[in-house]
Amino acid sequence: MIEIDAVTRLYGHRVKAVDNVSLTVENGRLVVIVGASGSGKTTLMRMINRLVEPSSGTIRIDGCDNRELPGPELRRRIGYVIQEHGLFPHRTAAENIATVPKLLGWNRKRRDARVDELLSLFHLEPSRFRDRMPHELSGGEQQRIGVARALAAKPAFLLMDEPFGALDPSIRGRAREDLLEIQRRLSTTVVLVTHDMDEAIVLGHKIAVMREGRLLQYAPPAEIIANPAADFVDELLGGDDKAFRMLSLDTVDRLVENGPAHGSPVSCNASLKDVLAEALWSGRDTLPVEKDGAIIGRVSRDCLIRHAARPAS
Amino acid sequence: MRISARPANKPRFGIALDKLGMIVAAIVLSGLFLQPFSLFRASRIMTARGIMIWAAMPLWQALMVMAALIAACLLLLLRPPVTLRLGVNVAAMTLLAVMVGRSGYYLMPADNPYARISPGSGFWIMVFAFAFAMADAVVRKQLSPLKRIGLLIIGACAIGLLFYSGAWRQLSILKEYDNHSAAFWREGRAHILLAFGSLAAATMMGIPIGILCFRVPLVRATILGSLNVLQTIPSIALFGLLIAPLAWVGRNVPGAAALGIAGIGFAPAIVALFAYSLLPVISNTVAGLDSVSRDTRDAARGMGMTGGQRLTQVEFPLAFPIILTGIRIVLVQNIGLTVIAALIGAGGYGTFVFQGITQMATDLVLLGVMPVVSLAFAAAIILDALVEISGTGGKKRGGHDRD
Repeated sequence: MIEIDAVTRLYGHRVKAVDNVSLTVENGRLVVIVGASGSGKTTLMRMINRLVEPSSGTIRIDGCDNRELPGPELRRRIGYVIQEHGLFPHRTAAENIATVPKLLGWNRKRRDARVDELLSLFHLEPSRFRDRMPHELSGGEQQRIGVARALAAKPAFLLMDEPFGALDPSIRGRAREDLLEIQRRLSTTVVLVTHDMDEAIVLGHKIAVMREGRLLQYAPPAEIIANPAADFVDELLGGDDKAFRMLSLDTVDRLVENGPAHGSPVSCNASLKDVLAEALWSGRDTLPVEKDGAIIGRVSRDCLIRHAARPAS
Repeated sequence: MRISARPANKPRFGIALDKLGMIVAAIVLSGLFLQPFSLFRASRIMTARGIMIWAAMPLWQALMVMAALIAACLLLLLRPPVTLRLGVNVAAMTLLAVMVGRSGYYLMPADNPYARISPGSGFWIMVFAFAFAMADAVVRKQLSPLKRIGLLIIGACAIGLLFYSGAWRQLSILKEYDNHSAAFWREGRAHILLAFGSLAAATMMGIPIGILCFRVPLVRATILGSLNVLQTIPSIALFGLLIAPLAWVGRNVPGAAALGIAGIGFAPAIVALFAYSLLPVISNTVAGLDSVSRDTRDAARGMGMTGGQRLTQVEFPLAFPIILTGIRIVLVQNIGLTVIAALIGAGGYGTFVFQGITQMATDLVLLGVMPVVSLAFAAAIILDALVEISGTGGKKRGGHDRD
């Protein structure tokens, strides 16, 4: 658990990069801090591993003040992924990944085993990628090596600063899915910074919206869409297609009812948005839903539309 | 796989003449027909008389050499494959080097042991033209750094062979060498000691100072500013400026004189060379460290490296090729500057240069200049190769086992 308690960071005497922010990140959750550039989101994140020291306030990690350990030792326990990946250009992929284990004094055999394990986890064939230099890798591969490097010493916490910013839009979606899967599998606690509200909604269990150093709202995505706490949050959401954003948060298995339906079935893992789109496109009132190849019921268009409405608060 | 930067270097045969070949051919032909191949002097300080190639050796030899050189020019005009071009140039230069030695034997009168035969402007012009074409071929061949060093060693061995075989014995420079052979090696040692000693001292002090400059902006402005001023002082003036303070130190500090510290000689020379060396080493260290990207540095910190670990594991290795470039500049510069050091009695090959000038003996000047040029040339090639190895080839596949 990361507890940020009334933290302020001043630059000079007056400029408050971060202004009295408190928030708690529960273990195993993925929290996204979203805001425009200059909103203090990166500064807030960098105070967690003390790349920036707070001017006032405290940050506790699993109950302990993060100033109890010397900075470098603290940072070795917290994974860190930065914008543009920041791989060491003079080291191979394997050496990059083994950075923190080496700093922690793991022996060679253990490091090598961990490197291979991580490369496989990120769908990179170890024998092919181990000895490549960063400049010999594609953007997506570099990004995966960057995340693998952050996870190398099995940290319980992971900080990510715009980790997908440098990626081609075509592979960004895949990279986000990979991150979600790995987060679920390792149940690492993740704090991710982005300027992209869509990314925040896709990834976050909870979203913290920041503006000019202040925390405007800290809530799950559905809550943010339904009840934006300020005009600015509403603006970030883009106004027009909130109904579809709402639908994209849920999967169809929650709305399955009994009864027959015609036509090709939809998967129970499909998002409500995709299912509604299919219903409208094929002109059907009800669609069959399948799970593991078997039809488990149907979903109706009216029910989907009801779910797109703003929840009563 | 490392991506090779080598472009497909396909030779194109055709009627189109090679532009560089045309220039080289024009220079060679003018050297061959318009300039003297050898110079004859009745004694070491008499005025030289030029001797054209057909008079500098038996006529049949001259005709064969001329035919060979013209053939080489024609070949170069036709833009042959790079390897063949390299071979033609090497062969032409070897032929010239051997024949200039032969002409020494041919022209040396039996009744005048004081006569001097030396290579004439025609010889130098032709060697220059072929060396130019060879340098071009070497660049086009994109030889790997180690192969370039190998080529340098082969060249040095070839010159050594000509030197020791006696092929050049009748040439005037070799006669000067015979008269000064003990001094030649002694001054050579002094020259190398001055040039490399000052470089070593500057490297050992300059890199830590550079790191300090990089970390502390105030120090950076002060040090780089004052060294910039120092660099503008002409070398001869700096040697002169150091005479008074070092003479004072030599007289007044106990034990200093015993260490050889005095107003003239080795001490002021090495101090001045050291001072000149410092700026390139420091500024390249700063530039190298500056070149490490912010992301890389931030990542190193975020991974939990301490300041020292960041420096030794990330910043310094990435800055190293640029630092080495600074060392290369210093070494080549020092080898040349050390010539001036002879003026204040520090020794080195400059001794022959200045002796030769006062005695109006060109051959003695050449005896000092040739080794300096060769040393600077060799140093430049070797260090360029090292810079390339450290920058790109330093980390090859399988570098994983380097801990």
